Amino acid sequence: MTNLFKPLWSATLMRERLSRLRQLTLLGGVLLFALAACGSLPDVSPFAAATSELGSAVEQIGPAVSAEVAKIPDSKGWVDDLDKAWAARVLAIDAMVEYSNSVAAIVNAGNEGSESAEKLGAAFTGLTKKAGGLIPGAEALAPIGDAVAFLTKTVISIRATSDLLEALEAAQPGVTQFSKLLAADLEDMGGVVTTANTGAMIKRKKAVAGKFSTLTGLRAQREKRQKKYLDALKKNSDHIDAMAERVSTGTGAQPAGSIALTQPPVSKAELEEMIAELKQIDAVIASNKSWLDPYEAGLKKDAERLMAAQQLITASQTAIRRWAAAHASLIVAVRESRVPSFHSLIKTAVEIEDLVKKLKTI
Amino acid sequence: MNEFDSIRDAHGWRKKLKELLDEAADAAANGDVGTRNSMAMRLTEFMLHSNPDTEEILILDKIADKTSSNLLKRNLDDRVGAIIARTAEYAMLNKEFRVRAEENKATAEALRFKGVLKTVKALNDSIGVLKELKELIKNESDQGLVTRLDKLSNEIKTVRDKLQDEE
Repeated sequence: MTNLFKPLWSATLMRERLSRLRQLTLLGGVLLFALAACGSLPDVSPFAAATSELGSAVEQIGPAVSAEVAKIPDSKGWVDDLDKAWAARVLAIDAMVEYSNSVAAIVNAGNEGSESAEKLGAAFTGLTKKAGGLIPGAEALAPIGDAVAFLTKTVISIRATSDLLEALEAAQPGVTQFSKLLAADLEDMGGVVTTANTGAMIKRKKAVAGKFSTLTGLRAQREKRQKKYLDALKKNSDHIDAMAERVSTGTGAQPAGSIALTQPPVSKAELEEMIAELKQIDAVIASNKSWLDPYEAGLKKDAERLMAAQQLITASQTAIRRWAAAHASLIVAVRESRVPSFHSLIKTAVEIEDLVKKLKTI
Repeated sequence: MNEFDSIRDAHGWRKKLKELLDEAADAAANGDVGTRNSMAMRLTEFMLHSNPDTEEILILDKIADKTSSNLLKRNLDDRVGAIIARTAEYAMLNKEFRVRAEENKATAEALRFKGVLKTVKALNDSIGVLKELKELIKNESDQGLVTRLDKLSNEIKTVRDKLQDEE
């Protein structure tokens, strides 16, 4: 473009330029066709925004998993290793965010470039008008401003599309590699978090091992006593049934019409003693509530944390696959001049953000 | 009802631990995180249920505890080790994508067309000064002409610089 203005102060050359620019206007028509075929640049800002959202969400997985590992005894070495390893992931994720923003910058620049072309055309027109009094025939060049703007816009749009496509295609192998690495990491993070959670549950169980053993013994004892009581009740019930049978059929040792009622096998006093024993065991069992309730609540919380962590890992795996697929679909969208959809990617990024928050609150 | 309820004596607990340790060895060799974790938990449950707390039973508990810890340790070593092993690849990707981002930014800058606009502005300004000069030659003194020529010289220099920048 620069050379176009160099000989501006030569009227003769300017006329020659005019002729050339008319030809260029014709070429512009051809380029318009090309541009129409290419279509406008796709809006990649949702992709850049989703990458940023996803990046900040995935970056939090490392500290969340480290926090789980820190709950088990002698875990400092693993926590340090994980933190150090995750720092490298954070840098790579940031690079991906920067890259995505730079892709959006190409599209924005393509659009801005078109606006600049309009300004250039207007400036060119202004220039030729100003030069009118100085260079004979320069005013005649004023309409060329529109042609300059049009041509420039066309060239910029085609160049932006080509640059965008080139940038995306060159990055795709790295994007695929990154998503594979992160998916493998997340699989291992899932294993780490499940193991850490098992370790936390074991630690919780071991802390109450003695009390638990006593309680287990008491429960077994109660079960035995309860069985003994129920057996006694059954014996008495069978005894009553047997007496009733004798009355109705007239069988038995005594003559008919003079049935003697015998005492039940288990006396009322014995039954009351059994009930008292059961109540006593229940009272001892109930006294364990002070540690049993927090213990069981803790186990429930461990299970909830594990579920939330597993959901987070699964959602992140889905998200990273969707991100790589979205990048690939962007290439197709630019090639085919259609609008790409990032809806599911954005939805997953928001879901991860929510899961990270949930895990932090449990 | 659990797998320990029917055990009545030390012989039964020894037999049960032997059975668990055989399964733990398989789990350790197998490499599956879930199998190892579940085995570690069963060994812990063994400790919780084994009774009475005689010297012999307490030794069995210690064996169960140690095996349980080792299974978890093995899981963490394997998984954290696998994560660490991938770190170098991330470092390469980090470099690659930062370079790509810089290249894309440069591409974007080129597309913005700002330099050309600046050049056109400079040309506009120069033409304006030339017009003023033309009027001056008609109307003003030599001193005024010198001043205006200096100004013109500077404007043209600016245009030249801009054009050089563009090339």
